[in-house]
Amino acid sequence: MRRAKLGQNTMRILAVDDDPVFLEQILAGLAALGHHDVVTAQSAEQALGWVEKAKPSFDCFLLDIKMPGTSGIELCARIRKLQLYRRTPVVMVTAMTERVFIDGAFAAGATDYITKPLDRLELKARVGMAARLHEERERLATYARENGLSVGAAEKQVEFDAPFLIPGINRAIEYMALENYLLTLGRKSAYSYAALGIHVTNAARIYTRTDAPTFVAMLSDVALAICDGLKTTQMLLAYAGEGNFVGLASRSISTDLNELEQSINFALTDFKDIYDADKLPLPDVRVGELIRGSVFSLNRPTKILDQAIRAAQPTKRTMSKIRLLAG
Amino acid sequence: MQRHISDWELPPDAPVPGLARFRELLVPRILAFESLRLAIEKGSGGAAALRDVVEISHKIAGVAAPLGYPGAGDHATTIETTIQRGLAAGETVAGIWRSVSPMLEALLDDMECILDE
Repeated sequence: MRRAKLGQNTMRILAVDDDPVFLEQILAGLAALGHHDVVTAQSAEQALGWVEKAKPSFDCFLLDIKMPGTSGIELCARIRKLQLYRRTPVVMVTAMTERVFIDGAFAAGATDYITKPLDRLELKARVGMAARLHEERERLATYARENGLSVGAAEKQVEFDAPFLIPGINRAIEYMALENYLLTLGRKSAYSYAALGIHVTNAARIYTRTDAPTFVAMLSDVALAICDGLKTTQMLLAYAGEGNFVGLASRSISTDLNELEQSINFALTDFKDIYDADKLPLPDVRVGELIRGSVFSLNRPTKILDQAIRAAQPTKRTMSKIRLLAG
Repeated sequence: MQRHISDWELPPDAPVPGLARFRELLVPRILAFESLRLAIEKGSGGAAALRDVVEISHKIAGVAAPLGYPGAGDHATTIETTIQRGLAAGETVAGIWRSVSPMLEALLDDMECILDE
């Protein structure tokens, strides 16, 4: 382990890589960006040792994917299981760009991805994003302190339009992580994906009639029903705010979307007694059309997420149903 | 475009981060490559020896360019991907080695040039 000098108002970072040359490079790169409080480890096992005894805790992780023994992806999953690090930015680092590794990293809870060899501009952008996530958490912690709440309780005071990580759902990742995933793939590889928007049409009504924890629980119910409906289909799922979920799956996905919508709404009827007791309507879910990117498109790769969300809005869907009936 | 690590707003006289360690590792890595080459060419190394070549190449590929050695980085990346693709496609060790051997020779030349600096 090497501990660089302490800085102020910067993140405390744990960088893990089995190559000491790379660790020296990343220490220099981070220092050039103003991050001086960096701890390094050369294996997942050593990193977990630091994680257990870190005081203060780490604000960001940079994890090499390919390491002997426990891989960076397994390490990411183990860090994510710790309550303290449930939402800490995790940036994966690797020379390999094969999608199989990227998929695994994001599914294990990574928030972003950077490739070797290091490029200063890329490092600046990725670590800058992690710093923004960290600042968001710090603001939340301050808010919690000032209002006599636990951070967990403060997290539950959600804004209606804010994306957040749905708790307790294996396939769920943060919306920003889903965007980063697509940006990392780039236009060419993103072409092999399809996005699916799923909208809770009465989310605003439920939000105004209940407290934040119940609203979050409602979204968890919907997320569970979505995962059940998707069965074995591999899909990363994120909550984008305003009652909108968006999923990302292989372009060749063959799910029947009408059947999926019915299955989700049917699954939610299992919770009817609970919603009745809370005097709340059951969530009503609409599934949009699959949005596939065009290989010739000059749009940013994340555009398909916006399009998928728009395609799931009731007005659009109603219009298309009317068009279908008319014609 | 990959930037050289000395562009990273380091003081003008500061040593390039990682360069000394990279140089220290050159001789052991050259020796390791040579011994793996011998094993593979004798037919005693098998796929495990190829994976060891990948492991060393991967490390070089991940750091060489920012140290000012993009050629070595490119050669190492090509070796890594060629072996991985060959193994994934079920090619024979001998078949993969036929493609990789000249690439490794080029990488060893790069490494020796760096040693001579």
